[in-house]
Amino acid sequence: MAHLNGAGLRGIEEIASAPNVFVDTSGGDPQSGIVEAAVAALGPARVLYGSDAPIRHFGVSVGKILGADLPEAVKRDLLWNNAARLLPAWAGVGAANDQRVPTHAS
Amino acid sequence: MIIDVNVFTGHWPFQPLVGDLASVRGSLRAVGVERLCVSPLDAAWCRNPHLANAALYRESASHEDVWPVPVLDPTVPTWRAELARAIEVPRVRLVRLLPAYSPYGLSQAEELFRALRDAGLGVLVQTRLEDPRSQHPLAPVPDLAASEIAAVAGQYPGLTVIIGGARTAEIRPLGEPLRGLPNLFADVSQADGFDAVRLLAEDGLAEKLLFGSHAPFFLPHAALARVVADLPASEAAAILGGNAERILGPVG
Repeated sequence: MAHLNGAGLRGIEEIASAPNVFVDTSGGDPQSGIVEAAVAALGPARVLYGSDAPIRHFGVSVGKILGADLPEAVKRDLLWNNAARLLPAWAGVGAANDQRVPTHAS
Repeated sequence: MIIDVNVFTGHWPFQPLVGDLASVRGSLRAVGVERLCVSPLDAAWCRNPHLANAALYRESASHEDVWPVPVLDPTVPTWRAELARAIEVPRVRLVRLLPAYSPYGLSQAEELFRALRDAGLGVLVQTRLEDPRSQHPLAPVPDLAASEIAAVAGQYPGLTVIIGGARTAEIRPLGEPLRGLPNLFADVSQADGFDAVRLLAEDGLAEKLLFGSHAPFFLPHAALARVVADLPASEAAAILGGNAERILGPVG
């Protein structure tokens, strides 16, 4: 589900019961608390970094995660590990550095 | 030195903001902000926004780094008394107007603009607090056009006017008045977009832009990133604090 800010605080709940649906953190302004709300509702493995480039500024998009009130390990998951687990090996992203997160396909 | 000209404290009815002054101040101090221009958020939806100013004065009294920015509404009959109170409060350099939330048109604020000019206070006029796309469906608030705010600066040359919360697409067409009117400025708290602040600087506006975070709505990290990522150090320093210090007075 693209654009966390577009989905908003209600949209997050719409996908809470669908474990094979992920959300990316892009879209809209760098709203405080919304990344934390997504992680709380979906778990840290179902939230992925997104920049919305070229609409939004990379620094602002990254700042939404770096400035969130979340543990550093969760921030690393959002910025890299979660996507690395989802993308196929031929994408060359490299492996996540911890256990694979179960998805509907695994 | 970083001065944030666009900060709020208080409650917002449509999302669970962490808006107490200690938390907001802490989040900004953590990224290096040394001076916070803070307005009461509760004023936006109160039918008499002046009632929110007293709490701001009380809570900020012990913090030298907090410059209170009271909200004034010229359609409240007692606005002159509220302005008189504001003038007596230490560190008040600016007054904020939220015309879209009262609502009123800027033509109804002419007497207030004259009074602010005569008192030596600047005015920050807010274009928006929330993206209309994310507003509660029962409480839509249209944006105030930034061009209307720019026109005020032309009408009152002795009054410092700050366009608050305008989008990049609204600021860029105002390049001519921003460059030409020495009393007109824009904050970059909602100037988002790819390379937005760099483009504004290339338009010759580096001396007319002021750092704003829009905290606690937005994350301070993001506000800082959009200024420091793409600019030479001298231009970033001007936007982060040099310009604000020039118009509001020295920090410390």
